[in-house]
Order: sequence, then structure tokens, then C-alpha cells
Amino acid sequence: MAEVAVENISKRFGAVTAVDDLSWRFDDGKLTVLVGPSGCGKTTLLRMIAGLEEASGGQVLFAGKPVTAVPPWERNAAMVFQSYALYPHMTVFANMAFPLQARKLKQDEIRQQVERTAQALGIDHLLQRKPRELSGGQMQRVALGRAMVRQPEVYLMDEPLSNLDAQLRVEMRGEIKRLQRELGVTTIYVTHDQAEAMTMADTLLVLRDGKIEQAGDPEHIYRRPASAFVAGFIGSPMINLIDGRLDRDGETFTAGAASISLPGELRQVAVGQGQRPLVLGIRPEDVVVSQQAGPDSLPARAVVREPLGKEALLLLAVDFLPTGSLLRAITPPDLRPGPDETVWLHFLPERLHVFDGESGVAVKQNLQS
Amino acid sequence: MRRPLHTLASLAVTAAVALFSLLPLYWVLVTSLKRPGTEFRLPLRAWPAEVSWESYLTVLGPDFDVQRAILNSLIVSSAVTVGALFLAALAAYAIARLRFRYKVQSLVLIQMAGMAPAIVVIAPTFVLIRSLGLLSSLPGLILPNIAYSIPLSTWLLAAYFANLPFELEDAGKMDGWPPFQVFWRVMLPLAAPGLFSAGVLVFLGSWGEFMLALTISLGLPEAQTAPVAILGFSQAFQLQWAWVSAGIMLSLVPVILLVLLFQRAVIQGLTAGSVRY
Repeated sequence: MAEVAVENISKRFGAVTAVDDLSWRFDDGKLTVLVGPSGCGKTTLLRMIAGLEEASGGQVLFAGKPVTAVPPWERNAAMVFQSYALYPHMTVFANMAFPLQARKLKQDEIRQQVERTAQALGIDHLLQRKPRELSGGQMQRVALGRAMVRQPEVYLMDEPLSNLDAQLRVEMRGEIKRLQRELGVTTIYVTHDQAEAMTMADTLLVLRDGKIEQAGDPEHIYRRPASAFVAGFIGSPMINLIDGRLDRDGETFTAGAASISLPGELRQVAVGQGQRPLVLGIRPEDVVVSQQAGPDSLPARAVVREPLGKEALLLLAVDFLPTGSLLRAITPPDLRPGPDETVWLHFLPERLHVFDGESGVAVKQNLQS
Repeated sequence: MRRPLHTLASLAVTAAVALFSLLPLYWVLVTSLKRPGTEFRLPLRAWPAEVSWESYLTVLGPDFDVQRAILNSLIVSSAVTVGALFLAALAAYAIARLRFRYKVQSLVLIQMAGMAPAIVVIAPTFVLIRSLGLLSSLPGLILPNIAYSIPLSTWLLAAYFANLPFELEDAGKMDGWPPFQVFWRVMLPLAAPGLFSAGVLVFLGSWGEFMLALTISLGLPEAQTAPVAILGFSQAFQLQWAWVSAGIMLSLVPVILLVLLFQRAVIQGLTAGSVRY
């Protein structure tokens, strides 16, 4: 087991900077998820930790020792690939034995370890098969097995579940999490799927343009996104982001024709911001929809209702969003407005997020925590 | 459902093509079974009136010793195939998969070497082999034939390597194997079908190669390959077509056996590649 760290690491491909002077200390024995949209540098960062990609600058450290100049085959990191990358000409057994042979283990020792790992993953009946005779889920397990069969300093996983169907993905995500916890090996996991990131991460790193946009406990990031970008990326259905500005007294936020009154505490913070443009963020579950008008409530027109079972996602046309953009609200299943019916909105004030209109940085985290 | 007329037509065309390429071979077979001296007897028959194995016994006998030439051919062609495939695979892998300067140029350069007609390179090759002291020896045949075979096989294998998934190489490295081992244990086995196609071409090319073999052998039986030795039958006393034909038939046997033997391996190799990546 070892602590893995990167210091001021960069990667440039010609004029493009994929990873930009990034530093992070990955928690020992924990599962850290790198998440972000495509092109944010998460896979490049992982490949630099693996040694498959040479860093343009900075250091990779395993257990405090720089390994930047160490080739991947000497780094003792195990990797799981998106395509599984099983060797098609070898049996499952040979696939899993391959990393052990590289370490010059004895035949019976190899057999023992492969069988033990295969048992833990429930693939011991597949050992004599070739990869082409396996289903996607079985291939995924073999790929995991090939990584787990030895004791590496770190597991690197590059979108390992994205080729599986939805149900299997949910199942495997729990499985990987369980195995990781049992083995206690530092794991760095790359995904673009925010649900996967939220559910699996001990620590979540949200990457954007080769830099860490926010890092920490996934629930904390969900509750207190550091920027409009993070707020927009983490959470599903996506948070509502409303462009506007404060009026002079700082009591109300004006967006389009609508005024949204801010709660007292938020008001105090917002006042200091003067009249510059702000972005108001409100998660769909924090929008209260009612069929009766109330004090301070905002009118909206129901456009689409998507039942999700225990709740429904309501898409609403409002006059404070640009035409074409719809406000997302999670509503109880018994609220069923007809098409084009006018409903009334109320934002839970303590759940409002305020971001700078230009930089997108959170002006004030919401006040619930 | 195919219409019977359509099936019949394609069958007829296939048969015509097969006949066109097999008829000369058939004629060689028929000639080899005639008694020497009766090759041109009229009327021509589709099958000799009396089958004679005399020519076979003659060419296998101590005067001609065709089996020695066939063995030489086998040694030369096998060594050339192994050597050329190994070197071409290394070159092809580098060209297809590694990043380095002048990559395209190096492929073009290798191809240019293959474009020179044999007659142009034969004299310099002779001089080179002579100064290496390898005249009338099998290595003297093997080395230049390897060189001649590299351009085409590099081309074929580079195309093959380029289509193999990159992640397999990465996986090999992450599993703790240095690049040459990854090449040897992962990429090369996956290129088996490509290696086979290139191998067949190299083997047959070197099996049938005549001009260099004639030049290097200097007429000594210990360095004569089958084509050269068979030509020698006609110079011994007189031109005996039955002897030549028997020699040709015998020299075909190892080639046919090898292709049949390896075909099975290739079909396996081809199906092993059908994996979801």
C-alpha cells in the first residue's frame, strides 16, 4: 500500500494543455474518483500516474518516491481499461496469470493466486475459456481479476464500467466498491458519469480544463459546489442556473422580468457584491411547485412531465430563463398539472446557490451546512 | 435462394479458371508418368497408356539425388521465412505502432529496396556473398533471400499491426512486461494470421527463386535448390522431360504438405481475433 501523489504535473499535446500544473495527494487505501466532461484531462492524468503517458512537467510519487522516470512495467500499478483489453489469444487463466509471470512467480504460486482471485470474483468456472466466449460482464470481471491478482501499490481504473448495460453497471459499481474496501488498495477511478462518481467516491475530484475545480467528499461537493461548473456537472437532474443581477438594495435578484427575493442571510452576503451579474443556482428537488399561488411565488407554465416512479420531473417554462430553456423541478407523484397549466414556484431560500456571473465561482455557499 | 442457372454459371466460371491454372500441372504429372523417351509420342493421351515410375526412380537415384536439392530448398525456404518474418515483424511493428521521426520515409525506403529488379541486384549480391566467403553454401542463399523478402512482408505486417488495439499494449506494460516482451507475447501472437499470409508468400517466393540460387550455387550440388537441380537434369546427357517433370512433382510435395498443415493454424488464428474490443 502506498500513498500516490502528483506534484505540479502537466501534459501538453502541442498547443493543447491537457493537464495543467496539477497537484494532489491521493488518500492512502481510499477510492478517489476523477470526474469531468470529456477533454478535462482525467484520463491523461491517470495515464501519467500509470506511466503510459510521459509528463511534460512535474512529478508522480509513489510512497513519497518520485517514479516519473520509472517505466510503467516497473511501477507496480495495476490498470483496468475501458475496453477491458483482455488478451484474446489467452485463456482467462492465462490472462490473469500474465502479470504474475512478469514477476517470475513459481507455477504453483501463480495457480494458487489466480484461483483465489477468480473465486473472489465468481469467475472460477470460466478459467479455461477464451475472452471471446465471455459476456461483457464476465469480461469486466476478468479484467478486474487481472488487476487484483497481484498486490499493486495502486489500482488505476479508466472508465471500467462504461461498456456495460445500465443494470450491470449499477451492480458492478457496488462490487468494485466492496472489493476496493476489502483490499484497501489506493484506487484512482476515472469516469465521466456523475452518478458513478457520486456513488463510488471516498474523495471526488472534479476536473475542468486540466485543473482541479473542486475536491472533497462527494456529498459535500453536491451540497456546496464551489462553482457553477461543478454545480452543473454534479447532480442529476441538473441544477437550474439562472442568470441575473441584484437590484440596488440587494434584496431581490432580477432575472428577465422576474424578481426573486433572497433570504435575509444570503442578502447580507449578496449586498457586498454590488450590482454585478450573478448566477443563481437551485437544484430541481429544491424547487417547490404548487397549483395555488402563494406569497412571493413565481408563475410558470408546465411543459413536460416525466414520471420517475416515486416522483416526477416537471419541465417548466418561466419568464426568467431565456426562451427555449426550461426549469427542472422534482415534484411529488400526485401533482399532475395539465399541459400548459400555470403553476406556482417557490425556491427553498436556504438551498439557493449564488455564483459570480463572470467567473462562475460560488459567491456564497448555500446556508444549510 | 439462388437460382440454379446462377449457380451453374458461377460453377462453370470457377471450373474454367481452375482448369486454366491446373492444366499445365496436370500435364507435368502425365509427362512424369511416361517412360523417358516417349514424352512426345502421338497421339497425345489424357493419361499414359502404361504408367511408368521409372523417371521418379531415376531422379531419386544417386545420379540426380533430387531429394538432396529438395532438402536444401526446405532448409533455405524455412530459414528465409523465419528470418524474414522476424525482422519484418520488428520493422512493421515499429512503423505501425511507435512514434519516431522519419517513420513514413523509412517505410518508403524499405519498399524502394523491394522494387529493384532481381537482375539489377544479382551482381552486387554475388560480389557481397563472395567477399563473405559464402558462395555455394546455404547461408549464402538464405541471407540475400531474407533481404529480398523483407519489403513485402514489412508492408503486409505493418498493415496488420496497425489494426490491433493499442490498449492491449498498454495492458501488457501495466502487467509488468517491458516493450519487447509485450511485442513477443501479446502483439506477435495476435498478428498470427498476418504472419501466416506473409509467411506463405515468403516461403513460396524463396522456394521458386531461381536466378540467385543458380548464381550462388556455382553448380555444386551441396548448395543447389530444387529449381536449380531440376534444370541440371536437362544438361546431364540430354533433355529428358519425364525426369524434369518427376523432379517438379517431387518438389511440390513439401509445399503442398506445409500449406495444408498451416492452414488449420491460420483458421484458428483468424477466429481467435474475433473479440469485442
